[in-house]
Formats: sequence, structure tokens, C-alpha cells
Amino acid sequence: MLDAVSARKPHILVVDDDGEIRRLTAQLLSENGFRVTAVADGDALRRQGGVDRFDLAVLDVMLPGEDGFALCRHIRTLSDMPIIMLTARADETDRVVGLEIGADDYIVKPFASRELVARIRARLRRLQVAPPLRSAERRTRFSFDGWMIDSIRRELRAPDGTIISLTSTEFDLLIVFVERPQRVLSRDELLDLVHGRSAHPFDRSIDVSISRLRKKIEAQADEPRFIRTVRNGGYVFSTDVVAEPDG
Amino acid sequence: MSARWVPDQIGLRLALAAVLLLVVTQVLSAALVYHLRPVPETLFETRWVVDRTGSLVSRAVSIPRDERLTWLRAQPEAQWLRFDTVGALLLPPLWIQEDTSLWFAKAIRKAADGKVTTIRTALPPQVDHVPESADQVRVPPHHAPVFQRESISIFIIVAKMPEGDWLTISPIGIDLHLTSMALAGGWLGIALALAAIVAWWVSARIAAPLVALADAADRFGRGLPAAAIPDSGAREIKTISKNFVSMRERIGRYVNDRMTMLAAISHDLRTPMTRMRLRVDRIPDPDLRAALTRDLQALESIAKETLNLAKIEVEPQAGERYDLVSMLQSIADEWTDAGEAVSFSGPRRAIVSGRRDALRRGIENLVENAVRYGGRAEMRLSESDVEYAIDVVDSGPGIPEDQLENVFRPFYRLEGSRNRDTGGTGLGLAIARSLVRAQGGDIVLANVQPGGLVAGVRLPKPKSS
Repeated sequence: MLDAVSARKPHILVVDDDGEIRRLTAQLLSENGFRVTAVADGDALRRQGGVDRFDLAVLDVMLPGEDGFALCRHIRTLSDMPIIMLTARADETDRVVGLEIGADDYIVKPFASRELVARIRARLRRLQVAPPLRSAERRTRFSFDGWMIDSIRRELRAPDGTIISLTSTEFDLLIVFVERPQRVLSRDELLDLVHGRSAHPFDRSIDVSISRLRKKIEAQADEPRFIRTVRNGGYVFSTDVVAEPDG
Repeated sequence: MSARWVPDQIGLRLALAAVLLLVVTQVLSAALVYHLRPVPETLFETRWVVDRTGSLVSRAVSIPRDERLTWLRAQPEAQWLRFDTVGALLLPPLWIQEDTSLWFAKAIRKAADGKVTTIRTALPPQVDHVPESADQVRVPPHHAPVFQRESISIFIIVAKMPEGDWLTISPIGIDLHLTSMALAGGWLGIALALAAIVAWWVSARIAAPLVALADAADRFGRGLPAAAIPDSGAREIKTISKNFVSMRERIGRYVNDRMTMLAAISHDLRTPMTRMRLRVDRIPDPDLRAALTRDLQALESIAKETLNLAKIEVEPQAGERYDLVSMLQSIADEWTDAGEAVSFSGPRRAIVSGRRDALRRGIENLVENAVRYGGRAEMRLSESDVEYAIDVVDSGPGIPEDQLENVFRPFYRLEGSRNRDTGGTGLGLAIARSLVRAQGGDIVLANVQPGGLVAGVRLPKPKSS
């Protein structure tokens, strides 16, 4: 009976070298309806058997011996499950490295219990909507008409190489567009797609965000070449986009 | 790079350069003089020259102007003499010694039967015999003159023709042609150009290691990746280079140690904080939980900001080109979306070079202060030839004039309105200024009327554009 129930619970792998954090995290996740296996490092994980039985992994970056990045790479060769990295470093480097080697999300320590649970749930929910992409199928770089987008570094470069800053909503919106060039997207579709991408609430109307985005990327915002308005509601990214896999 | 014969010391190198330059110009001017020296090929009997030129000039006067040269060149004398219409102005100035050649001119005028009155002559100065004055020369009438020189090899005779132009007669072999004058000018030009090239080459070679060193020092000062310093140049420069490299290594080691230490502190602080956070979240009493969470957050931000401040000095300052306008617009939009009165105005594009995230953190801190203490933030971007100016204006009470500099000090607190109750760590301005200064800019505060504070950020424009 108990086994049947726990079998349906998502199984989370937690790797952290700090015993207390491991214990507290395991406790937190069990209380929130997850099945948890918590180990200290990669060796302990291998002693416990394969990684196939887990639905999601939470890895600390700073581990003694083989670090979290190496472990993340190792897991990626065996499985496509979502990986969330925990790091004690607040700078960009860890986030970029983590995402580049195939991690899906990144949380800075110390974190609120609620946040960890919310991020895990968001990742698992996304898994139900769409199956995970193999690393080779992940598109992280896009280019259109000389513009370059790096979705991991979250950087947009103008044709002359200058970095143009976008708000996170604008960036998410642009990614949604370049992933679906030449397709008419209604406001509702855009709202769903952008909301699905971002952890933060989307509190502006799509139209405001689009007009802000146009000001930054269009030569003439009132005569857009990239993001065109379609009559009867909706927008289309009307330029060809080249998408490249990561690396 | 340096050849073996190049002396080691900078003073000797400069002396060698000066000597080298002198040699080059001397050789060139000697070559010039040699080239322009008239080469006598024929020795003329003076009597012959006077008789023939006199007769030719007197007859030439009656020949139409257009045919005159052709006629002269068809005469048997043309195998020894050159006829031309080059003006007297082109005579080598040093040759014209009116008093020595006056007898010559007189004799020719006489031989020309007085048909040509204006005759000028030039003979090269002769060292052996120069008469004191032309009056000493006596030319008996109807007789061959008593010439001072039995024979001459170099002479120029210029006779004024009735039309007003000049007829020039000189031995073949003395090149008076316009081309040769132009050539002389050209030679001088070439000599100067060569001298300039040699001077430039030599001084560039002496200066090159210094330029490389200056560049390396500049890069190091701005925290860019280290540039290689060539092990060449004069002894003194090599010593400076060596000292600079060892200083750079020492500072590099120090910076690395500090980075490692900071990373360790950061990590070791975050681990217990993570545990506390996880434990606090389990406290059943909501009031206590909220209070402890606030304390933890305050602790966390102080730790974070302190480490940030310490890190600015040691972080590598790898630069990238980015657009300031879209950054400031994004900051304004994000604060606006969060319900604050933050606005931006400025040009359409403003390209700067430096660390984008660092500047952004700095500006965010200024905006946060403006919103917290001044109710709103208005960002204005303007540019001059050399820099961009970002003014962050609020509508708050401002800061007493004598405190404007103090508030940049870490953890400095103003009496009265700005105290810890309003939140913040007391590091925002210190961090902002360090971040902007690390990119070659600066921040100054000023009060504005009727009420408010302006934080003025100055940021240099990239050199390339």
C-alpha cells in the first residue's frame, strides 16, 4: 500500500556534502510529497546504483573530489532528467557553466524552502507537458538578420556585436518568437509560452512588452520588420531564424 | 631583436642614432654635390669662344624667333655648344661673378658688333687667377683681346634677344637643363625623406619596448588580461620591464589569494546560512518565523554586499561592448513593473565598453537609493565627446552639503532620516562608486533645488569610436 503510493511520488536525488543540509532538504521534500534519496557525493551515488530511477536531481556545485559540474555531466550522459544546481556562489559564471553542461535550473544558496519546492514542481510539470530534449537537440543560440541570441548567457547582440540589454520578460518573449519563426502567435499563446519559461510573474500586458522589445531591436519601431502585428489579434516573427545547438 | 653591434645603454643608442643620421645626410649631400658638378669635356680656346658666340649672337638676332633655335642648332658650332632658351634665372647662383666674367661679356658684345647689348656671362670661379677688377682688362680696338685665360672649359653666355627672351649658350656636357634642376630638387627631397625614415626607424626601435611596456601597464591597470612584454631593448628598459613583470606577478598572486579567500568565505558563510534558512522555515510560530527570516535576509545581504565590495577590486575587468540605453531602459522598465516611479530619457543608442553586469549593479544601487530615500528615480543620459553622463535624480530631502562625500564610505549612516530602519546595508553607494571607478568613471552627488539629490555618473567613451 505504502509502496504503491510512494512509487507514484516523484523520486528526487539530492547530492550535497553537508550532512545537515542533506537531512533538512530530504525532510523538506518528503513533507512536500516527494520521494528522496540524499547522498554526499558522486561515489556514494554510484554505490547506490544507477540514476535511472530518479525523476529529478538537485546537485550542489561545490562537492569534495568530483564537483557538481562533473557529476552533472556524468548524469547527462546517462539520463535526460531535469537537473537543478545549487551553488554558494552568486555570480554569473556558475550559472552559465551549469546551464552549458546541461543543467536545467540554478538556485543560489541560501534559498527559501518554498522556492526549492516550487522550482522542482515547475520542472516536473514541464516534463509532463513536453518530453525532455536530448542535449544535442537543445537550441541555445539563435541568429536572425545579423542579430545573435545566446539563451544561456541571456545575451542579445546587435549586428555590430554590441550587447543590447533586455528585461527578463522581453528576453523570454524574444526566445518564444525565435523558437517559432513565421508562426502567428495569439496574445494568449504568447502569455502561456512566456509564463511557462519564466519563474517570475508576468505582470505586463503582452502589447506593452512587445512595444518595448520593438524599440530595442527594430530600426523603426512604428514600422517593424521582425515582430509584425497580425490583424485579428496576434504577432508573427517574420524573419528567418537560424538555430544552433549548444556548443 | 637587437643586433650584436647595437650598444646596450639607451644613451649610447641615442648617440649611435645621431651619428647614423649624420652619416646618412652627409653621404647623400656628397652624392648630390657630385651629381650636380658640371663635367667639363672640352677645353675651349677663349678666342674661339668669343669670336664664334659673338658672331652667332649677332646673326641670330635677325632670324625669326620661332626658327632661331633650329637655325642655331644647325650651325657647325652646335657639335660643341648647346643652345637653349633657358632664362638667366636658372644659372647656378654661385657661378655668377660679374666682375670676373665682365671682360668675357665685353669681348662677346664687341664680337657681336654691338647688335646685342645685354649679355651676361658666367664663369666658374677659378682659384689660380682672378683679376682685381674688370677695369684692369684692356681690350684694344680692332684687335684680338688679351684674354686672361687662354682656354676655358666651363662657361655660360646669356644674351637678350630683341623679343625679350634669353638665349643661353653653354658647352655640351654642362647640364643646365630644367630636368637637371628638377632632379636636384628631387635629390634633396629624397635625401630628406631618407633621413626622416632613418630617424623614425631608429627612434621607433628605441621606443618600441617602452610602448609595449606602457601598453602592458595600461592593460594591467585596467584589469585586462596580461600582455606579453618583449625581452628586448636597451638595458635600462629591460630592467624596467623585468621589474614590472615581477610586480605584476606579485599582485596577480595576491589577487588570486584574495579571490580564493573570498570564495571560501562566501561558501563557508552560505552553508550555515542555508541550514538556518531551512530550519527557520520549519518554525511553526508565524511571527517568529517571519522575524527570523527578516534577520536572516539582512545578514545575507550584508554578507553578500561586503563580499561584492571586496571582490570589485580583484575581479578581472574583461570588457565587452554594450548599449547603455537599452540597459538603462530595462532598469527603468523593471522598476516600473514593480510599481516604482522610475523613468529614463536619453538618446537612441550609446555604446560603451566595460563590464556590463558591474555597471548595471552600480546603477541599480543608485536607483534603489533614489527610490528608497527620494520617492522616485529619474535617469537621464547625455553625452559629450569623451564621456557619457548618467544623472539619477530623486525628489527626496537631499543630503547636507558637508556629508555628500561621507555617504560613499562603507556603512556610513546619516543622522535622521537615513538610518537602518529604511533598510539597505549601507554599502550601496560605496559599491556603486567602486564599480564605476573600476571602469574608469566616477560618481558624484549633488543637491538640486527645490528638493532632491542627483547622483551623477560619468563614464568614458570607448577609445576606438
